Amino acid sequence: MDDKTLITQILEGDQAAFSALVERYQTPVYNQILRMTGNEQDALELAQETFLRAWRGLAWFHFESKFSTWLYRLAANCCIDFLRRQKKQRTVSLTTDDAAVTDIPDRQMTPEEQLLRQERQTAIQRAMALLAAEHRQILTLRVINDLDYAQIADVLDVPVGTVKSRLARARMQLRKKMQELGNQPAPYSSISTGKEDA
Amino acid sequence: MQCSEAFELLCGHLDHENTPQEEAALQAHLQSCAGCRALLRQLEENDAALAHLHREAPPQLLTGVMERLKNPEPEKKRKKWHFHFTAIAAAAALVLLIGTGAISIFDQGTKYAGEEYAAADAADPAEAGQGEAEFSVESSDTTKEQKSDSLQLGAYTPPNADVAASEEKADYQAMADREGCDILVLHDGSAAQLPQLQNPEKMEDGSMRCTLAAEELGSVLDSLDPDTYEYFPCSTGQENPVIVLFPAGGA
Repeated sequence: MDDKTLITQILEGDQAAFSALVERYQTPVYNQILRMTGNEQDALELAQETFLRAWRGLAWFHFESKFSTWLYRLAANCCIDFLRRQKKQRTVSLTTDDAAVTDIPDRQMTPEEQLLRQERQTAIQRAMALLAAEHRQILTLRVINDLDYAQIADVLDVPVGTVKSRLARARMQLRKKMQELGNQPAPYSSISTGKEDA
Repeated sequence: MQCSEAFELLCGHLDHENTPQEEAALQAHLQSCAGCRALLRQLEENDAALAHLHREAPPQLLTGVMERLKNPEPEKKRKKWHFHFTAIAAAAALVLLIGTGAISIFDQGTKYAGEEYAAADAADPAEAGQGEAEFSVESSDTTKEQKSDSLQLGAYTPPNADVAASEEKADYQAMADREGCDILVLHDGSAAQLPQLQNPEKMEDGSMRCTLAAEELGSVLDSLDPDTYEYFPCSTGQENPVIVLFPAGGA
């Protein structure tokens, strides 16, 4: 059943239809928020808050965008509110307390390779936590949630050109943080995207 | 092609967003540049590790949402703003004392100058001591009711309507300062149709709210009749995101 049909049923008072909609989008919304908050408990609460906001706001959703775009925007707003409350936009906890480091062992990898992969997972999580909020956000939308540039532009309400340049800066910053954490050699360290971050 | 120019195309390559021409130019550059080939491998490794951070939503997400829809907790019924009990008590007491002339220091000035002090007290919860009271700033009627309930001040009533309106403004200003954002109160509900104010969220008391990026504020204010809104900038003075409130009854 497509989103529009579900939403029509929800507006007629069908809570089961809303349950189906939550089920469909809970994982991308949770991931989007988890990388912004840095911990699972806050992510769970904010993801629930996002869906409750969606429930309350559905009457004002007129399909001017895809439902998913609208929902990701709600999630982004929830994160902004949260980060503002925390007053620490650039200092999300470094605690690697989500399950990222507990990978399922891959039988085709040697123990050494598995250890390396695990170290890399821990490092990437730490590096992400050190990035500016807008860089964490865009990397999550693109790489973890697999949104294309056009949809990211809609979610963030910026031109596609901005998505491109912001993603380039975010990847550059991520690579820099990985190097600082000792997890990535620098083939050459002087490369620049031409637009330095503030 | 310079290596610095290649970087955005490397990202486009990873994201499958390059045009055929861009991809051809990138591949030509990669053939002659070992540094960019190594960089591409690093970016691929980082992306792969990032993608591996993908998590399934925990089951309690769905169950929690549906539970809260079926059994809304009283405190979740509308957006709450937290004010310290003693801050409000002090502010209310100050207004009362001033109103009755019990504090002589203000006698030589304007009689209700205490409104400003009340606002300052409410805006500075750090000095307010322990205990919290909650009330909504989005519905003036509810605000008054809940204030009285929470504070158990019994017969307390605002000395006059002007003072009540000033208190409400003080509440908005205190909220702006505490939340670190600007507050835009729109008394005309039709403003919700403005394109910049997409997806207002409806509260159960009939009020609505949404968040606006600071750079959009100018265009929104330009679209509004000055008599239909009030604006409370955060005292930090910098550009802040704006919480837009549509009080109940404005629609």
